[in-house]
Amino acid sequence: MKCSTPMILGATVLLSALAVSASFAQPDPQAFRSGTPEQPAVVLVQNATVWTSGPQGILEGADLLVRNGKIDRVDKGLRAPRNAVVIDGTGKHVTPGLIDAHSHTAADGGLNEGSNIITAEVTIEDVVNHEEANIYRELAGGLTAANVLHGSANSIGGRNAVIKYRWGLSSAGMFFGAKPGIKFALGENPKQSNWGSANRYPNTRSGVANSIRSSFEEALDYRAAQKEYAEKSKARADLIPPKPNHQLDVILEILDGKRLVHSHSYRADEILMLLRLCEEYGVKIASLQHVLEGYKVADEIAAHGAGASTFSDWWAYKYEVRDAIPYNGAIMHDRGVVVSFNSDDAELARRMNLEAAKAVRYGGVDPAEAFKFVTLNPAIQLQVDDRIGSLEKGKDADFVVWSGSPMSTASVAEQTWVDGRKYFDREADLAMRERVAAERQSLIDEILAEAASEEAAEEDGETGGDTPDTPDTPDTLDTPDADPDSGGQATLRDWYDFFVAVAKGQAR
Amino acid sequence: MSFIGSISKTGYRAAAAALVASVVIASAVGAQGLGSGTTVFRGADLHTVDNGVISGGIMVVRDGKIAAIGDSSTAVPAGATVVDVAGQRIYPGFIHSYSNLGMSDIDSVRGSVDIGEIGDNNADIQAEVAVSADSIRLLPAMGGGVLYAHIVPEGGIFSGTSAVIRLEGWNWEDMTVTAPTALHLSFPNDGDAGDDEEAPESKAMKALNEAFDQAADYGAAREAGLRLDADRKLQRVLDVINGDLRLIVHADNVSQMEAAIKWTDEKEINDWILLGTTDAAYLAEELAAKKIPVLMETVLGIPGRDFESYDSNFSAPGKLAAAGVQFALTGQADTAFARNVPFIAGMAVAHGLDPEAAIRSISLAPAEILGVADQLGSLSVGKEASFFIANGDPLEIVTAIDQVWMRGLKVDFERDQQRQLWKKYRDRPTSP
Repeated sequence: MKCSTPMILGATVLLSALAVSASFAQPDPQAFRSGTPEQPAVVLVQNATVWTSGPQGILEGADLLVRNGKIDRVDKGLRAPRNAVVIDGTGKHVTPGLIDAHSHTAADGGLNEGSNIITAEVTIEDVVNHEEANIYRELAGGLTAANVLHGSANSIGGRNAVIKYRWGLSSAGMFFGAKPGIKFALGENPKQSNWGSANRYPNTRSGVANSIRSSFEEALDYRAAQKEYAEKSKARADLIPPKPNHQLDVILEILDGKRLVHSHSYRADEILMLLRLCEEYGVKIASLQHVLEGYKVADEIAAHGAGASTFSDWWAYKYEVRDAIPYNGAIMHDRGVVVSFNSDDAELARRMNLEAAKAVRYGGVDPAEAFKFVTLNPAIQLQVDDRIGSLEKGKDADFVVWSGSPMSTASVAEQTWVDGRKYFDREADLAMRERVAAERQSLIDEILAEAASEEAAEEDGETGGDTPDTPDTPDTLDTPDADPDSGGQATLRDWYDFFVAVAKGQAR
Repeated sequence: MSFIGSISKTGYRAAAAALVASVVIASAVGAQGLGSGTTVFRGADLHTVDNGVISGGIMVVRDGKIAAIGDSSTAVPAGATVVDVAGQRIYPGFIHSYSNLGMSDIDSVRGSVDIGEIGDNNADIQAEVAVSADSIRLLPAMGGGVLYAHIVPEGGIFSGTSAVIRLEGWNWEDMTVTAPTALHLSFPNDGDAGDDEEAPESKAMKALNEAFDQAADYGAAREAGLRLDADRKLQRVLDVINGDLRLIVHADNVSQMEAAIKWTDEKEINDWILLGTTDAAYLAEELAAKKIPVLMETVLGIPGRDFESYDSNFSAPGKLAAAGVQFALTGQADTAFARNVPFIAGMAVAHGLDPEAAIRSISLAPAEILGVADQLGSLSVGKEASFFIANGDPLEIVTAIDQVWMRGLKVDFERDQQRQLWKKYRDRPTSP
């Protein structure tokens, strides 16, 4: 579609007005979908190249059978059950839905609570914005789940939210029971190397280490005090219980192995420090995040059992990533570390399939293994591999149909399914944008025509501008009702009418 | 055909190993500078860009330039060193057409960054004099097939003059292909005044027009023989007015681009280049009609407006091509990712750009736009022998680039710190 500038500007004005109204009303006219897509009882993708990311490896000319939202089988020559939704996979590739083990998508501001070095009391779950358009954009790139993390201003930062990309559902509807986790961070960010000022403790990597140790010790003291109170208060009624401390409650969950540690880290020294410190307290790290010098201590990471969620090829943006190399993933993988590639970035999260290809390019990882860097391996790191990450019987039917090899820059995601429900369909998207373009054009034409007639009226010496000429302004400004003809969603047109009514009401 | 099946696991490893394998070929190995003697590359598919693909062809390189190119019947000069590259592909070195390669090593370390100057008018700034020949960023970019860069100074309304450089050489002078390439103008971002003729001129717009008028006055005064202190800033702007220096206008959104078109029309600047975002696609027809070439970034950006389709940036290059705009694709100036420029073009292919046009958009097209097509941008006689040898389509990430040659010399990646670290730790004895 070609846009002339007045169109763009008109649409921008209109849409920003709509965005304002959307903030106090449902549904969001920007949302491409409202509610849950249907879940067919049976889905069969036939004759595709299927990258299972499981023991079956990559199968050519294979079929994927889905029943009631779960993977039933991957095999060749499956006959379509009755009433199955059949997708012709000829020439296409099918993979598990991609998983991003380090994302900030849908975290609605407040990524960093920079005031204190330990902020375990805050949680990303409180700020997941299910209306963020990037969820849809990433679905369109085959992503179906993400570990949404707090920022890296704190050695022990906020708690995470692991979400499935059920676009159109509320934020709570995107949580799927993953084990809770928390963000740790080491190095330049918690020691404020690149902040305007550095007047908060710590200023060194040693200080960062001590802040974590102190917090662990404080939590253990807190528990000891609680225990002591529990013991002594049996005999005495005049004791005061220890003051509840929400932050330390969370630290205790870490020490008890009930909460997964995902630690932002770059340099080999700080990685090793955290491994050893956590080992002292019996804590196993679920994932080292970024871990760009992980290749220097790959054996140590493997022995500890931590996963490594790294960037494919980022480097040189600050001093601690000077030695970052794109071979990092391959070296750690070869030495037995479970490696994933993450995005940390809503833009990159739209093309994680191509990030996997970089493990082939740099270090020669086998393609099937490399693809696990964005499917099974992040699932293992988040301890959700019983649910997602591979196309294996009994797992959630989160899968992507690609136009060609998922490792080719020339391929696009054609369909993205979550729980056996189709949340993205490129064909439907293309059709929808034509409808939206036509609708936008008609609205803009109307605005321009109205403006022209008002101008003409003013030139005639009338004062049409100040007095509304339509008497039908509603008494109460109800937000548009869902229109049953448009699939239960208020149309752009409904919102336009609503907006005009608001404007006229204010003019009066 | 799928990637899997066609190349075995060992094949991938072998290809990766070849990246660092030091194939000793006569005396043409290792040293920087201009190759001497004659080297013949035999058997590869030569992707010339300006003359199609020559299957199993022969390319003769002499004194750092391409001396002959043709099919398998092309004469191999006596005494030439022959490099057998049968089954491989050769492409001309790609160009990072909006870059600061060599001007920055570590973004957060101010002492290593020489990209942006302070002040409004920095027209007298030259990018090339701040290029470090041993910048850690150069070899990784070359490993991705990106052998040239158009380096651009930032800061101010007029940010200075850019240069086209080779990514290898003894020093910045040796590396420079052309300088000054163009004067850079960051067009004021005033939002949109629409048809409101009364809209007040912004401070930035006023400063731009003042600088421009001053330069014209300066020229007139000098021409009239008035004794004036030399002013290199004004002289650079005057060079643009006089048509002696091209202008590259940075504009990030549609209204800025439209304002820039209007402004250049008013100032009668006819030979200028737009450097901007995928918003250029909205103006494709106008840009084509006015023959304004475009250096386009943000193809991998998130759509800036909620109503734009999820792939609007990805598909922008295809729209420019369809409208007949002359354009080059580039990443953001952040050069740590310069090696990924071919994959930007690859993404454009997935979203409607012809594959050949995609290759062209990072080779011959930027060379033409930047006025260096007589020296680089394609495999043709007389051009610099700067090219790379790959085992497949360079727009694909899984393709391995086996060799890189600059001006007739094989690039030695043993000097690349990234590969040094890779080998050091790959070969670390396993801990007991």
